[in-house]
Amino acid sequence: MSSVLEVRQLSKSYGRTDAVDSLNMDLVEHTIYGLLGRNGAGKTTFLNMITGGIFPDGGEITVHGSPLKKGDVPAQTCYIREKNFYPGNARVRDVLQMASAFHPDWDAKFASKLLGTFKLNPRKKMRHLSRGMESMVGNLIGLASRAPLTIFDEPVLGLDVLMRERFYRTLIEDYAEHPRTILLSTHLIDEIATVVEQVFIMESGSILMQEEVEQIRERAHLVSGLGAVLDTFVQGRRVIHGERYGNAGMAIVYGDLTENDRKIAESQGLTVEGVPLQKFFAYLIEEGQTDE
Amino acid sequence: MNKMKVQLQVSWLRMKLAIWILIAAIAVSVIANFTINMALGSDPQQDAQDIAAAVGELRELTGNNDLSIEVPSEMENVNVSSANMLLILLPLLAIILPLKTFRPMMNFGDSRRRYFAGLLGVYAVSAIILALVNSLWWPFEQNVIRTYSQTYNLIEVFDWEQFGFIGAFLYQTVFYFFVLTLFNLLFSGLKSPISWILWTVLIAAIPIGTSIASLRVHVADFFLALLFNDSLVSAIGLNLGLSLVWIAGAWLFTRRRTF
Repeated sequence: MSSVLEVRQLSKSYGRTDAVDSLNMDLVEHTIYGLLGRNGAGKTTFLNMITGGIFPDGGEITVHGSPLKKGDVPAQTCYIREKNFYPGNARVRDVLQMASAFHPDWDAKFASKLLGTFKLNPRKKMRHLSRGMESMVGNLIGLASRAPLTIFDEPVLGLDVLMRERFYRTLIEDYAEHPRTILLSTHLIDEIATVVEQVFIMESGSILMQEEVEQIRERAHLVSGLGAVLDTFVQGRRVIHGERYGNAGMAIVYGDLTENDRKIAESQGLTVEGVPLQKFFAYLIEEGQTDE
Repeated sequence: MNKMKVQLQVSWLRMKLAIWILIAAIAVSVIANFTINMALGSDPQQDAQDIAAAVGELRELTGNNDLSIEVPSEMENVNVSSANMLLILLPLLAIILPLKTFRPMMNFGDSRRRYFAGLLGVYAVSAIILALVNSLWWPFEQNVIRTYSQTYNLIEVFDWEQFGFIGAFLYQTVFYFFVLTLFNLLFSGLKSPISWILWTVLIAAIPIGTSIASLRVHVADFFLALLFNDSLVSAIGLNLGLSLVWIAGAWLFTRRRTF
């Protein structure tokens, strides 16, 4: 599969704070990626740099095979920002019409259909929309643009559970018919776990982990039992997080556990369970471990 | 819809309120002025004739042909031409558009280069429309408005009538474009220290240029060449030449402008 985005040693700092620090990333075509990180992890700064909104202090960005020069914006890319900047006195239908001018693969019929799906009134002015509805206008543009590289920054901000589900379902259905590269930036891993194929976990401007979601599910384990036995079992393994309760304890272990490992654990009275992704994500960031 | 049309629409959406407020203010001013003049029975042309007759009589009585009457400025009731009041749009356009349309256009996915070219297009069209409005308004002002109200118009003040209708239109267009690009330069890079230096230089240049006698001559010459130029070609050249300098400066700010 050909490369859609290549980022090498990307850096950006504000004063003494490194917002993005020597970051590398590769996105290939026809894949849905998740970019996960807490607020302030540097996700939006990174996305703004790869879409030409702000300029990096160092590093290289290549989009669709062309290096992104300072001041340029990448071609065939649709970036839906967390905060929209559409004119407040424009109507929803006008915003969609305007957006269509910037995306050669724009599907007007699909956009009309999505207005119904997302229950958006095309005659309503942008300033009269709720935060969730504003997000939906952006999401609609992102979907209808059918851009070969589509980036959503916190797409479900302000949306209720029903609308979140509807958005993700529509995204998957449309992706199935029109495969493209999609990057979803969020801090809600559980919600996108069924949508994305690969995730990048970002913290303090760096990528802590790049992994397939299924791999994380398979490799993240919660091991609990007596403290001494637990310590022996986790020795030499990558422990993301550990807790003690008197004699007992638990550890979040990341790595492959063979059938034999599981049998040993069981024989020693240890319990091995899966870890909810959101919990794993939180522990991983908290511990500040790096994926090497 | 193409990208330029989007930019025009975004510009219109951003300017709409300011334009309507300005038009309403002009309408109120015209109506108030007309009503007051009608109520007072004022007739500027008749007043001018009466004054001329009075001066003639005084000259006859005194035998002094150099005698003249100077009407104190505070007694004159001269209004700015309504079409000239529309020119407030020049600074408004060049302040609001760079400040309020850059982000929406970038948010749609526009490039800085195309955005900037589009912005210049909006300025050029605005300069042409405003020049055309004032050129068409001018004969109406002379023949109709001035029967009930004294007004002054830039075309008359700067003696642009000497170039005829087309010449006055062209002079206005290039001068308005000059004003638009100058303000655009000043408001395109407000986050840049170079822009702050530019502002400081400009603010300092006016009092310094007018207070030092040796500089004052050059300042006066510059404004004479810019506004009162007797050669249309030279005026167009100077206005457009300076506009190009402002455009180049504004582009340097815009191409490095961050979202």
